[in-house]
Amino acid sequence: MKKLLSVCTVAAILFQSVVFADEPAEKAAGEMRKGWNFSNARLIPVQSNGRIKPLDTYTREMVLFMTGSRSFQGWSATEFVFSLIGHPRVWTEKEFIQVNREDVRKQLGLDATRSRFSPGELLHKSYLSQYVQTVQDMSKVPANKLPPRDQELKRVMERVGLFRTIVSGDAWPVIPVKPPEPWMSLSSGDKENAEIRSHFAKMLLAYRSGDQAQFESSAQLAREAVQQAYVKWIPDHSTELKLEDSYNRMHPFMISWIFYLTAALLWLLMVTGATENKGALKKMAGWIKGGAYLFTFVGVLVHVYGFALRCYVAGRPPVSNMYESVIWVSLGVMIFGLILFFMDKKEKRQPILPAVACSVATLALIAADSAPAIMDPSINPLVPVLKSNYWLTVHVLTITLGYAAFALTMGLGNVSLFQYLKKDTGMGSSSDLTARVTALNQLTYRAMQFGVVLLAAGTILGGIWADESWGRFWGWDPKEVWALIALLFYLAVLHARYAGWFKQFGFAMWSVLSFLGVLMSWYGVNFVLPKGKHSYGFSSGGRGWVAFFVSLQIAYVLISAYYRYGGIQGILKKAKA
Amino acid sequence: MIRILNGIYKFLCSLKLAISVILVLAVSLAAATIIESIHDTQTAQYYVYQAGWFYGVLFLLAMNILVVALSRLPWKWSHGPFLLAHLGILVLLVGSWITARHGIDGMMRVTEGESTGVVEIQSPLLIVSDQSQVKTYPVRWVPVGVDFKPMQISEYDLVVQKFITHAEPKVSFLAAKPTGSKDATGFPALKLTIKGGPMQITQEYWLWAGHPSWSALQAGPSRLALWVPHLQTKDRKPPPVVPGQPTMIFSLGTDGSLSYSAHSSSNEVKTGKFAAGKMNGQVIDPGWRGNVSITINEFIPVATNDTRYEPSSLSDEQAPPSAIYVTAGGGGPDAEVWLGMGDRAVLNKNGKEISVAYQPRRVMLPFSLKLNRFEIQRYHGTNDPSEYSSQVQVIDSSQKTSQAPVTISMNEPLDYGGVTFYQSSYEDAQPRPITSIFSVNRDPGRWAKYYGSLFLVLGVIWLFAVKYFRNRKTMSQTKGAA
Repeated sequence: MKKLLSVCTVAAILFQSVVFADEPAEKAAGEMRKGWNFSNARLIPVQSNGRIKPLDTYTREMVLFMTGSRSFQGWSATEFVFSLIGHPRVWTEKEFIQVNREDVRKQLGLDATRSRFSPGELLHKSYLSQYVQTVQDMSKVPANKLPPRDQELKRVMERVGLFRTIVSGDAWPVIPVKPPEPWMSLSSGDKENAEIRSHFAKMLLAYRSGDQAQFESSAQLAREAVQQAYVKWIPDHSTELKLEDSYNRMHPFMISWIFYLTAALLWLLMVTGATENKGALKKMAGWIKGGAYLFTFVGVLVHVYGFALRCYVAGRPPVSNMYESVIWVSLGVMIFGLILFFMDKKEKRQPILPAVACSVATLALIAADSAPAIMDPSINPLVPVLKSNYWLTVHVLTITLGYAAFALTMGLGNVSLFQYLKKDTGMGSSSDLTARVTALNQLTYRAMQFGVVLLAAGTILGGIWADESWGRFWGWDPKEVWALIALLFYLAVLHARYAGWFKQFGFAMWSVLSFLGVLMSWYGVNFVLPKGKHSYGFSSGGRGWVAFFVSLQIAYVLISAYYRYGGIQGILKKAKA
Repeated sequence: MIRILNGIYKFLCSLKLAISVILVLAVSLAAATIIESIHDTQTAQYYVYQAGWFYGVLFLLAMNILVVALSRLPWKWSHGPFLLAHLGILVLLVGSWITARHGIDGMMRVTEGESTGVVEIQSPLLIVSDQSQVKTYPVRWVPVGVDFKPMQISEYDLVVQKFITHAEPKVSFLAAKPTGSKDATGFPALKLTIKGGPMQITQEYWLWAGHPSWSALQAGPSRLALWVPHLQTKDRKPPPVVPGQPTMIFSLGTDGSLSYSAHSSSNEVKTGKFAAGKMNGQVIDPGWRGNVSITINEFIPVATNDTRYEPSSLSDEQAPPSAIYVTAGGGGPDAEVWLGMGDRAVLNKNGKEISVAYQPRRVMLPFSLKLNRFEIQRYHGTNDPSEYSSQVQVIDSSQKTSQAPVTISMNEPLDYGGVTFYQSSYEDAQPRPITSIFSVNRDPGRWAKYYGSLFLVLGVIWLFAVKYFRNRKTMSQTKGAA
């Protein structure tokens, strides 16, 4: 999103007065057009961030950026943007631009309790105009090196600028020109492609007057005209555009987490043994089991489908950013959960395994889905070093599959700790604790073995790739080093288990704690220590959430240890020994 | 004696040692990445990756593995997976050691049409020469906060007194001393202030006719040049004007007058002239976009470059390279100098001239690489590169036939004479980049690393597979017994 427009452009247009087209008072100004579906407008090709995408994707990115929400008050992104350009005066007074941080609101002299403001407020009733120079100076510093407050201030400036460019027609890159020049916007250029411009003008008029038929037919013509213009230079993208549109609307990963969540609950019912006791649940035992299998498999299928669709649209395996790796890792968790589940003989299969796998996958997908500002879901082109490389794909997919196996060990380890905690606090029966924990530990151990093999192989494959494209096998790059550290943690755990240094409780505890190393190499290197060759994946944000998760995990482990070893003295004694 | 040996043996093949070494490695690596994120890669290398104790830990790991493996003699098939996996680690470590000792890992920079065989390696070197010989002395790089021990070079009676890890040059030009000593020579210098432009910036620039890198420079989107026709030798042409690029050329007449010609991006030209002694404080409107004005702050007819270095406020990846302060004899005028990376100077010691240069270590390849053309493609409609490649030709005088041109691109390196050239980056320039940067590498330990990796991964898979099947077998056996 950050490349939607440069700060210079923003400053240039921000505080000059834009004369809006004469706008007669219309009754439905700034309201949704009921019953319109924008099916043609959505598919109009635009060029942004170095690739051709449907207008739908482009407007979704803009709406997310301006409002901070995936669908602002239920508006479809495409219609929202048409409404902005159709009724700019109305929208100038509506509160839709987000200002995320309270300190920034205070800095700008805004109402600190609201999070959205109207462009009018920001331009004329805030101190925003005083920060133009400051923000311009910031553009010399890489965005992730700015303090968070300045980053947000800069984004507020860009959001208002984006609104102005949408209204002025600058943010509509729909007029194809010969590559590698960027496509022109509706407002730039003059003679070329008057046709496309006139179709857009008709669409706009039809939108304002509420003439749906006219809007649809002009949108169709505009779509065809853009298409005809760009195929002169580059291959036809219409299939990709349609698939991308369906990917956008289907939201496959949300569907799969809903299925996983349901499946997890059903598996848990089986784990607790509720289906074996008397009562209504026992009668439904067969249904519950069938449902658990069904929801799990449908979830996986939708997940795989969404993943494949994304690969097709992007024209590459999704390996380039945090969002894509979370999607892939959660799929990996499901795959390992199912492999380990089916590796056991039928009568020995443990429903806790798919329950944990489904829960971990659900949490990961919800996280990916609900934090678009941190994990950017938009599809962006690759930097040169990542392009067209077989080893890269194999290396990243292997390493992240290793992360997936470790995520499963973390989940299983937590369940073991829960069993101990239940017994030690006297909240549950302790009858079959040993049997349960033994079985769980066996699964944890196997998942850890998968993880170790994959992480070792993936790190080495990374070495081979680095050797091929950077000319050295190992260069002590932070990402390499942290993958190695995570591996060393697990190797220490495996050797200590072999040496008999700890029993089952210790193994469960350390399988949970070792995951923190994975978290550091996966998230931390890119978001906390942004240095080194893996800089293409760098981003910022979400530190609070990750810190919350990490402290929760540590607290949980400490509480379990407290009860297991009988208080703090017990832990200290254990630590000494 | 035997008890001691036995003790050492027990220690070296204990699992306790293995786990401790693994944990020590994990913790020190974590510390290294944090050091790197606060400072830079070199600092992390100084404290951890290249430090003696770190090599010691790795050596201990290797010894541990070796002794444990030997302790299992005579080997049986059941030892196979364990041996293979740990042999893999040993071979990997050996490979890394060979690379560290005998490998080359450097950079090569070539501009279109030129050829070079010089590989630069990131370790600073002081090169000293007098009339009779040239000698090189490695300068020990130390991170910020570590004291630099003055380095004595007794052969030349030189002392490297100071070392600044990240040195910011403070450039100024001083009027040459009018004393009639033999090098009271200097060159005209011009100090300018540019205001305006698209970003409304105010910036100072020095132009100095004494060196090509100072006589013409890039100032934002525009170029500035100082041209002294009567000083130039025959083969030097007047500074070129690229059509469409705002360019300001000052030229000095033999009468001491300064005339200028300002070329705008729409190729309009404005000219003017100031008489000798009348240029200081003059403001010129070059007619460029963005209300640019150029002020002449100071004109020095005969100036010498007086560059000093100060510690930079930056200490991260963007920080400038190091600089040293060298004195000859007891120091004094003409016998002490600041040298930044790439600088050279002549020191005068009791009338004897010694020339010193401070630069990265360079390795000369027995052949050179000529860059025919650098190509870059960008993602449509953006400035982001999508691909770049260099068309090069190896020039090897030991071969009779000349080599065919080849293309080096991302992930497609060139192997020649045991050395591998990788496309690493380029120097961005307008209208297109023409300087390519290769990473140049000779890795005699490569085979060991590849075999080690293979053994390690196969061994671990074998190990876990054996465990899994053994486990299954015992489980079904216990079941059968029950």
